[in-house]
Amino acid sequence: QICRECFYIVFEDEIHQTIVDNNLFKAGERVAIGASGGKDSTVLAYVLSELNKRHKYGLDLFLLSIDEGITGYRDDSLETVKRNELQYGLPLKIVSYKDLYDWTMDDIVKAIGLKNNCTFCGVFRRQALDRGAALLKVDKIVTGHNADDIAETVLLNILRGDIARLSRCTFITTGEDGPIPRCKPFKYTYEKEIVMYAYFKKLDYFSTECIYSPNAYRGFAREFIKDLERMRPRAILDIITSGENFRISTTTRMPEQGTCERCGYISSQKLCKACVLLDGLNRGLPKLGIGRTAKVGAGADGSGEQQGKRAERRNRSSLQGKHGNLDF
Amino acid sequence: ATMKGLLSWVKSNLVKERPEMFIKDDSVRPGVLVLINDCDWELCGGLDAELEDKDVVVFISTLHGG
Repeated sequence: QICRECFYIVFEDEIHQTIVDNNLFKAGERVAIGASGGKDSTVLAYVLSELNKRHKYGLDLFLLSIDEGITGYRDDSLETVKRNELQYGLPLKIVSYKDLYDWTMDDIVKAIGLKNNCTFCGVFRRQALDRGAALLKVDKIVTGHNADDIAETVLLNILRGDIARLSRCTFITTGEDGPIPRCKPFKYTYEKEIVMYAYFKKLDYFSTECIYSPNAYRGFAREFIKDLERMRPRAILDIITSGENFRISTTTRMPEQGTCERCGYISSQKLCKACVLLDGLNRGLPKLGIGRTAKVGAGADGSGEQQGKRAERRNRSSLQGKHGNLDF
Repeated sequence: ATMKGLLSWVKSNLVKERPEMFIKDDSVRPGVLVLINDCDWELCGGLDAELEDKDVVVFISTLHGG
C-alpha cells in the first residue's frame, strides 16, 4: 500500500527505469508520440514530457495524431489531443485516412460491414503513423501500448497461430531495420496504474470505446486477461515473460521481409497489406487480404499464405483505383 | 451498508443501459476500477468494505481505447 505522492514517484520512476534499462532513446532525438487523446497516450505524453525535463533525456517531443474518420469517436478524441497540445506544450500533427487513402473508417464500414474493420484500421493506422513521422522528420515513434495490451497480443497471436508475430510482439522496440523505429515505454505498466495516475493527476483524456470495436476479436482476449488479472494480477507480466521467452523452432518457415512493389513500404509479401486492403476496397472486394486462403499446418503461416496470395496475384495484373498519397 | 449492497442499488437505480459494462455476476465488471475516498477498494475490503455516511465512491472504466 502506498500513498498518492509515493504512487506518483514509483509510477514515474519505473517508467524512467524501463526507458534507461532498454536504451529507448538517445539525446538529441526527435520523437513523435502517437497520441489519440485516450488514456494511455495522454499519460504517455504527460510523463514522457516530465521525465524528459527531469532526467534531461534531451528529446524533441511531438504529438502525432491519426484521424481515421470515425464520426462520434475520433472527431471528439482529436479535440482532446488539441487540448493536450496546449496543456503540455507539445506541437501536434494530425494525419488523416481521408488524405492518405481517400477512405475514412466510416466509408470502409459502410462498404464492408461490421466485421474485420479493425483489421483495416490497424493496418492503415500503422502506415499512417510512419507517414506522419516522416513528415515530422522524427527519429522515433513512441506509443502508449501497456502491459495489458501486450499480454492480449501474445494471446491473440497464439490463438491465431501467427508465429511470425508471436516472435516479435513482446519486443519493446521494433522496426529498427525499417525507416522509423517505434518503442513502448509502458510495456511493463499496467492499464490500471495508468488510469489511476490519470485520475489523481486530473489529466485530460477521452474515455469512450470506438463505436466499431465491440466486434473485434481482441475483445475476447481482453475479457480473458481482465478475469485473469482479478484472480492473479501478476498473470499479465507473466504472459509477457512467456512471450519474451518463446523460441521459434528452426524448422518453422518464417516470412522474409522485403518492400511493397506498389508503395515501397516494408512487407513480407509482394504487396503490403495496406495496398492489398485498399485495392480490395476500390474494387468492391471487401474480403481481399482478409483471412487465409489455405489451411495451414504447424509453422506454415508463411508458405500457406504465400500460396494463396500467389493465386490471387495471377488473377490480377495491376492495382486499380485511388491509392492516395502512399509512396515511401 | 457494504459495497455489495451499493452495487446492487446502483445497478437497479442508476444504470440506464448496458448493465454488463458495469456489473458482472456479483461484482463490478473486470476493468472497472473502484475507489472509496480515493483509496483502491482492493485495499479496503472490496465487496465487503463497510461504507459510512459521506463516503465518496468513484467508478472508473478502463474499457476503452488508449
